[in-house]
Amino acid sequence: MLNYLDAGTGSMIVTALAGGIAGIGVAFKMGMSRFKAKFSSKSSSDAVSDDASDGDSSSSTN
Amino acid sequence: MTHAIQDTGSFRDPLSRVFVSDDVILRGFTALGKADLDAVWSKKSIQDALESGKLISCEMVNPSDVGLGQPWVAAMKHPKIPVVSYPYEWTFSMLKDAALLQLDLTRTALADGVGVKDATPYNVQFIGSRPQFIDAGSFEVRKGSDPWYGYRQFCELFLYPLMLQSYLGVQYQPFLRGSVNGVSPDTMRKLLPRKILKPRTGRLTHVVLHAMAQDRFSASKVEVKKEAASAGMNASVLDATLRKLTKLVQSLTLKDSESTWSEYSDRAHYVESSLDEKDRFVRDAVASKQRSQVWDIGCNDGRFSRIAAAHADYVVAMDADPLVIDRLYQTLRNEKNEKILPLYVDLADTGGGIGWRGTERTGLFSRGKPEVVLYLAVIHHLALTYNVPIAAQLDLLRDITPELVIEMPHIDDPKVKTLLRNKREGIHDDFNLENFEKLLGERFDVRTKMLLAGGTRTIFHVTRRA
Repeated sequence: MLNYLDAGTGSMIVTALAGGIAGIGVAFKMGMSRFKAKFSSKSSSDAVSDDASDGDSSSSTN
Repeated sequence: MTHAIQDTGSFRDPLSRVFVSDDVILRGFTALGKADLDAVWSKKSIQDALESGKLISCEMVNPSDVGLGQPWVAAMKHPKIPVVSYPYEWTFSMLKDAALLQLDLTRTALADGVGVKDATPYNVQFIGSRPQFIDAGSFEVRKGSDPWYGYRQFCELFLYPLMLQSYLGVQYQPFLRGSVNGVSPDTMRKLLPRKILKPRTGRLTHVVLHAMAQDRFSASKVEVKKEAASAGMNASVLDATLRKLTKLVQSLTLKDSESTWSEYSDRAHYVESSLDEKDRFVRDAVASKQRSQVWDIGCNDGRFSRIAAAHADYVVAMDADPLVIDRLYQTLRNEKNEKILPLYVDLADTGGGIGWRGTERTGLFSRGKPEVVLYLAVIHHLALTYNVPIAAQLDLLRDITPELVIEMPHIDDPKVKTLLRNKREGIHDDFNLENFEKLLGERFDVRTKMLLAGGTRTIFHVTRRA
């Protein structure tokens, strides 16, 4: 079951990173998998635009 | 029990909802919510939090016995919080203590296999000067690789506001009142500059990298939970994060030491005998019977709040100076005082409700019901500095309280002269004792009045006209 809060894509990586030595490896793996996912989705679909920064669907402030 | 209605601020978590009546608070759980409740409630971390009072008292009840039908399949009863307050009415030390409580509960629960869903100061309330976690619906079963979902919320609503105040000396309250979701990582990154010689602890990770990661990965289609599991996320990583965050929050301090009113407790402008007289006058006015709730507006060091507290169940001590309130809070906290709630309130700008439909977090005046209001040494500041007419101030007081103790400085009072020194002559001619008494008499019946020693102020004890 997923939580009612959107964890915030990206925030989770920092959660691990903020744990210092204990979390750096986890953060790195999470970052890499996201990077790969982003890369593969870009190459597989023209529909995904470059303006990822405009599409922060998880941002809660507006 | 009177009929309970759903709390306007309780809707974000679909698994549980809060219902409020005059005498009780109820929380209903859906089937999914009940599954979590059943799995975690007997855990030591929860039971310890209940026993220590860190978590609000929870009495399990049958939903149908308290008037809750479908979809509520489990329910609990909580005691009423005497006066609900919000983080933008707290001060730095209050928000910091609430943050430490949130981290403490989250970390203890984590070690016990329990997840805490969120991390918002709206889940903390103050009983006098004691913070208490009130959201019993926040706990859920945690799988070993689950991430901490509340991290970003913790940054936005706890950490960044504290950093703003500690690192920049900027009051955080307008930011939290301006957005119910707090300060975003991106905004915080723009607000908090780098300091090369004395780096700001936590900025690089929690602000800069956080904002960058949000930006870079916002369009990612990867499911966070699966991804965390495959990357090896575990409780010890999160424990390290929570431990470091706790250390960071503990290291943040309030740098300002003086403000307009923080030295007011010296009260140099008062003749000492007039303070004694005022003490007696306030005591006589309040002590005629036990009061349910007293508001001390413009409380400063809380001298009169304490007098009122001897004859009241609960006192809300408000002042427009956050530093003064912070100091009062620390004093009350050291005394473990649970009877006086210190709040940062600028009466000239209390604001209405915020959040969804403006009712998610309601305005101040709907959250308490004073039986007596103390309005001492306030009227001239609002009238002469903010140009709030005497009549408008008295209208507000008539609307919120049946009984009032109010102090009126005369035109020859030294403080009044100071406030008027840069004002155009003639624009405050209506600020005088005669006009005040006329306007007061239209709204209240005067019980007693007294000229204070020094001869430039009169204090009144009045009751609302029928």
